[in-house]
Formats: sequence, C-alpha cells, structure tokens
Amino acid sequence: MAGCKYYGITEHANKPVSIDLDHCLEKLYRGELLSEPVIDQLCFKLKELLVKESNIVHVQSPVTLVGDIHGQFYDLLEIFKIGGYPPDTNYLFLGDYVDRGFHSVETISLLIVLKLKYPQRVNLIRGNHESRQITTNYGFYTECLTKYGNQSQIWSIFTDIFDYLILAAIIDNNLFCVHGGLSPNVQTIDSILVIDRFKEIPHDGPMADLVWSDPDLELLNFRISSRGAGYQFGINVVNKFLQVNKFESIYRAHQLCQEGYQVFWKGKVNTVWSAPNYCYRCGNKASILEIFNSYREPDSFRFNVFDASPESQKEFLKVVNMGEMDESAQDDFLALPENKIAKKAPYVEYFM
Amino acid sequence: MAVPRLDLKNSLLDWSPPAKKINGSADVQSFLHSVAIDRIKTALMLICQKVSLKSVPEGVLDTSLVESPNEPISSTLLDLPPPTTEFDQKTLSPNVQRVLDFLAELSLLMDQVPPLPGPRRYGNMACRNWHDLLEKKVDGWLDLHLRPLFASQVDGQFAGFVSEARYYILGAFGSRDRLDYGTGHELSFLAFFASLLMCQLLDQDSLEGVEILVIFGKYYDLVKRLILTYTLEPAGSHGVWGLDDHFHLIYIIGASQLVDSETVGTERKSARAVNFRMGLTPSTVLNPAVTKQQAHRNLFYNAIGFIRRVKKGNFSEHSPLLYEICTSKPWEKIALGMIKMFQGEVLSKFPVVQHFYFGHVLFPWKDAVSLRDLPESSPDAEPEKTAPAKTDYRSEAELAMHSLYQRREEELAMLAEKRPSAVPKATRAPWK
Repeated sequence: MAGCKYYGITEHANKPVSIDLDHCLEKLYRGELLSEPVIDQLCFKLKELLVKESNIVHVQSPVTLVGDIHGQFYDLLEIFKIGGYPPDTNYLFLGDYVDRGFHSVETISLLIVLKLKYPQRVNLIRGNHESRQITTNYGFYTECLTKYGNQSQIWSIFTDIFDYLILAAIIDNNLFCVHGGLSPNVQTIDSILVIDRFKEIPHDGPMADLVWSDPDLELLNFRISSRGAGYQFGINVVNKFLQVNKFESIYRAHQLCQEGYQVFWKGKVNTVWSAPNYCYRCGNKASILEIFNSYREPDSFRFNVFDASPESQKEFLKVVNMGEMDESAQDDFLALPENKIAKKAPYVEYFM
Repeated sequence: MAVPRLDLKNSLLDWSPPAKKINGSADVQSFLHSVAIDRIKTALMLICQKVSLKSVPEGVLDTSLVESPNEPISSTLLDLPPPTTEFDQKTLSPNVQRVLDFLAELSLLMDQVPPLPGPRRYGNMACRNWHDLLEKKVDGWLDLHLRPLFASQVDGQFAGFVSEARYYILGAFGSRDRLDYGTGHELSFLAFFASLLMCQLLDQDSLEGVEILVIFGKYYDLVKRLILTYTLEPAGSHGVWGLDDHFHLIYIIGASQLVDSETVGTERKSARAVNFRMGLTPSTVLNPAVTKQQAHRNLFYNAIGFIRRVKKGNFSEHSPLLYEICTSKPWEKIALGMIKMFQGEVLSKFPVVQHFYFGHVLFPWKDAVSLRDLPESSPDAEPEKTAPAKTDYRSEAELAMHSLYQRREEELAMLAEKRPSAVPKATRAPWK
C-alpha cells in the first residue's frame, strides 16, 4: 500500500477504484462535484494521513493564512488567484469551510484533495463548524442531502473526516494559529497536545474553547461567551500565553471583520476573515494573511484584502447543470449518477 | 375554525407565569400534540382563512424598509389590480386600533435607543437597551392600551392575562442575549395574537382579514426596523439552505392572501382567486419591479423585497428554495407547502421551539386529547452534559501518552480492518 499512497487502488464496495488526484482537482476547480464513492475513498486516504499528524502542526514561513470560508467556493478560487495556487503558495486554513454558503461541498472537497495532493504545503485546522451538531443546524447537512440525495451518506463521510483535522499550528516556532482562541484550560501548548481530538467537538473543555473563543479588547481575563460555547479572553490572558510559550503573536479567524481583518493589542492577536460579503448580506471585505518570515518587521507579513468574487455574483446553479457534466464524463467513475441529483433545492417536497 | 374562547368569568382561572418545558427532542414530541400547539395552529388557520384574497391597505406598510437603496428599476410593469381604496384608519375597529397603538409604542421606543456607533461583529449592543426598556415598560403599555378592551365584569382577570401574555410579546422581537431574530420569535408573536383572540380582546367573528393584515404588517415593519437598525443576526440560520434568514410565517400569510381559502387544497379552480391575482404568477416574485410594486400590499412580496434589500448576489443562489418554488409551483401549492413546512421545520424543530413558554391558561402544557399534563423533563437532564464518572486512575501524563500514541495506533488499525462497515447505514443526524 505504501507505494500507492495518494494515487492508488483500494477496496470500495467490492470494486477496485482508482483515484487520480489531478483528475479530481480539475473537476473541482471547474466547480463540479465528485461522486460519493470517490469522496469516500479520498476521506479514507486523508484519515490515514491526518491520524499521524499531531494536534498541533509545525509550519515554516512563507505561508498564507486563510480564515473562514463558509462554502463561498468562488471566493476560495479568488483567494488562489490573488494568493497563488498550491503548491506554489503554502496555505494554512484556519477552519470553518462549511455551512451557510451555497458551495460547502465543493469547498471541502477541494480542500481535501489539495491536502492529499500537497500534504506538506496545505494544512487544515478544525473550526467550530467542522462538527456534526453545528452542520446539522447551519446548512451543510441540508446541502449534502440536496446535492447527493436523501439516501446518501456523504454528510457522515465528511463529518467523520472533521474529527481528524488538527486543532492548531505554529509557524516558525513563533506564531500560534487556531480557529477561535484561548482557553482557561490551555496554559501551555502541551495541554493542547494531550487532547484526544479524534471526536465530535465537545460542549466545553479545551477542545471546544480552541474553536469557539474570541478576544475582547475590554477584558483582562476570561469571561463566558454569549455564543453559548467558549470564552472571551482579554490582554492578560494573551500576554501570559505568549510569554509562557515564547510566542510572538496569535492568529485566528472565527469573527466577521468589516475590513477583512482585525488587529488586537498591537498585533498580539489578529483575526483573518476570508468570506467577503458574508451570507450575501454583510457587505464586508475579506483578507488572506501572507506571512513572509517571522522577524516581526513591518514587511514580514501582509493582509491581502479582497472583495466578493465577481464569479459569485453570476448565475450559478451547478446542481441544475449537472446533466451537462454527465454528458462530458460518460462512463467516468467520477461522474455523479444522475439519479442522485433529483432535487434542486431542499424542502421542495413540502410543495409537491 | 374557531380559536377557543376562554371563560374569563370563571374566577378559578389559574394564571401563572409561563415556563419553558421543551428541554429535549422527547419534549418536542409532547409539544406536537399539546393544547398549546393546537391553539397556535387554529389561530394560524383562522388567519389564513381571513386574509384570503385581501390586500394590505395602502399606507400601512413602510415601503422604505423593503427598497434597495441603489437599485435602478426600469423594466415595464405588469397590468396590476387597481389600487385598493386609501387606507382609512377609521375603518378599523377600536379594538384593532388599540392593538396598533400598543405596537406603535414599541416602534417609538426604538427612536429613543439609537444604535451605538463603531463597527460591531453582528448585533448592535444598543438592542439590549431596547429590550431592557421594553421589559420595563411592557406591563404599563398593556395596561394603557389593552386593559380597556377587557369587559368591566372580567377586569379582575387582566393582571392574570398580563402575567402570561407578556412572555409572548417580549419573546416576539428577537433574543436580547444573542442579538438575533428568527422564526421562534415570529412564532411568539403568533402566540400573542392568539392570546388576544382567546381572551376576546379581538373578536374572531367580526375581525376582518384586512385588520389582521394591518396588525401583522405593523409587526413585521417593526421587526424589519429592528433587524436593520441593530443588525440582528439570523437566528439559527441555515444560510442559503433555508427558506429565509429570519421569517417563515410572513410567507404563509402572504401566500394565503393570493389564494381562495375555499378552494385551496381541493381540485377546484377558483375564479375569484384568478380575478384577484390578475396575472400575478409566483415567478413575478423574481422581478424586482413587480416586487417593488406589490411589497406594500402583499406580505410575500414584502418579504422578498426585504431579502433583496439585505442580500447582494444572485437570487437563485442566496435563496434557492424560494427561487425553486416560485418558478415551478402555483400559489395554491406554495400556500399549502409553506404551512406544511412550518409544521415540519419550525414547530417540530427543537432549536426553534425550545424557547417557547407554557403557562396554565393561554398555552398549557397539556395533552390536546386527554387534557392531562404532559410529561415534564428537567432542563439539566441533557445527557451530553453529565460528565462520565472517573474510572481511570492513571496519571495525566500516562493518559496523555495513551491519547497521543496508543489511541492513534488503534485508530490506524481500526481503519485498516473495519473499513467496509465503518460507514453507518443512513446519513441522518443521530439525535433527530
């Protein structure tokens, strides 16, 4: 098996399946969906890869940080346009790939394939929306059933892979990256390393706090968050964490910023937000953070700010157009069987 | 179709401050056959029946709330029904007028609490002050505007009425803590409206459909102003994968305006409905010009206008369900479907109904058939929250090492072995 790790033949449903990552990438970059058995295989491969990764992954600069995407697939493509395509640019994604947007399936599928194809150059941190409970309430579950049909197991396949995503990353031993923020249960990074992360995000405790917490400029210490999970944390908490762990600063996502990013306490904490015009209504900018080195000089990093992709304004109903795709990909295992895409929108059965 | 009239002359009415009863999915099942839901649904059916083939009168709805500021509209308009006569406040019954006066107080209160300056993530904190002031003043306003509606011989019941009804009106404008607004809050207003019917503050026989539209129209204008002024977050929104970020009931009422309640759900065609609509097909919803023209007389178009105002991007993409049904279904299917979906996605969903309150008189936690008390659950009985008893006495470090290495070895072994059966049979959320 070792020789065909990311390009190989494995068992699925008693049928050998070969997966060509380049082929998958081509399709995904065109905005097409992969079939369920292919996603299943990809996720199996990815589990093998992620299970060996520590809770915290060490990354070297240069690297580009991407915040919340929330299914805004065309804005993700815009990010690659302005920030460079993998593997030419190293990416560290800070979580919240799914929910709310129209293209969560396309987004998470593309990120999964990119991680498999370039495991050293793409890293995916877990966000609070990479969870069974949250995706049931905020759209990803409905999107999966809408795009793959009521009988599909695709939501289980995706949410199972979420359990394997890493919790944090450290750039050049100096910059700490996480989706949400700090936790009263996390004084040192060792206390993150000992978390058993291969599970649904719990209601409370360090793992929940890492993906749920927010900085608050008015605070010194911790306060219970009005989000219903995690904490708000203040400057004393940040200073202590940075000092104890010998870090320069913290980079995180998780909160909408009108300007696409927000700098707290002179850069000790920074928010990167990568979903422009969030939910089609917030009118906000987005950014990616390009880190060139960690010398703490003004030109060692740059928030690359961008607006909503013109593509996302265009008429786009891939699920409706799926018929075209099948023609071009006949007898292709990767093609979605037509009978699985009967529905165009969720809940239409109420109106029959 | 009649909402039960409570016997206010009965001095034994056991008014009591309502409490939340829905703590888990088993409670949702109880709720679905409770007296409370029965009364809510009956009130809803009454509304649908009364508003059938009626327009919101001119001058009631504030069209500035549903107009996109910079949108040029130049397409030619359809032939539309002639404008209904100018709205004359005097045509409203005094009781309806008093309910409107009460709602007007809430709207005026917003002028006293401007949003705080400065960028905020979502909700503006000033909204909490609005909620606090409302909580403080609501009893006084109910007393001022609604007490005179109580017949003198039952005036003694008014305090009891307020003790229960205030929960529903206070819950109708979003969450003070989360700074959001959603279908649960809309449901709370429906319950408040049903309370007015049950206590005969509004007489359900003489109440006109137009009057109902005026009351709900004013309520929705108020809520839209709240959402825009304090940038309230959609409560529990499914994003593009739901019906609307905030509303559901408004679509039921709006679609009911366009269908004949006597023929809807039957095979029969209604000439009255066809004449009333004058060519207004559901797909005209997608035409911004028609939306603009209809938004002040029909609540469905009004809701669409609000979506167009707050959302940028392609309609089919940010609102795929509305797009789909409006391009492929007749108004009759839409009106019925909205009610069915309300039952399935609002009344049956724990995240929505968990905040509903149950008292003893207005919305009792009783079985609709047997009238016996429904089973009570404890709010603390959430299974997830109970920590498992500690049975492992290894040191933290040992546990950590196990977690880091042993556990992942096991995971790997399991992955290699159990692969074909690892995926569960159906993609259903296990807690549903």
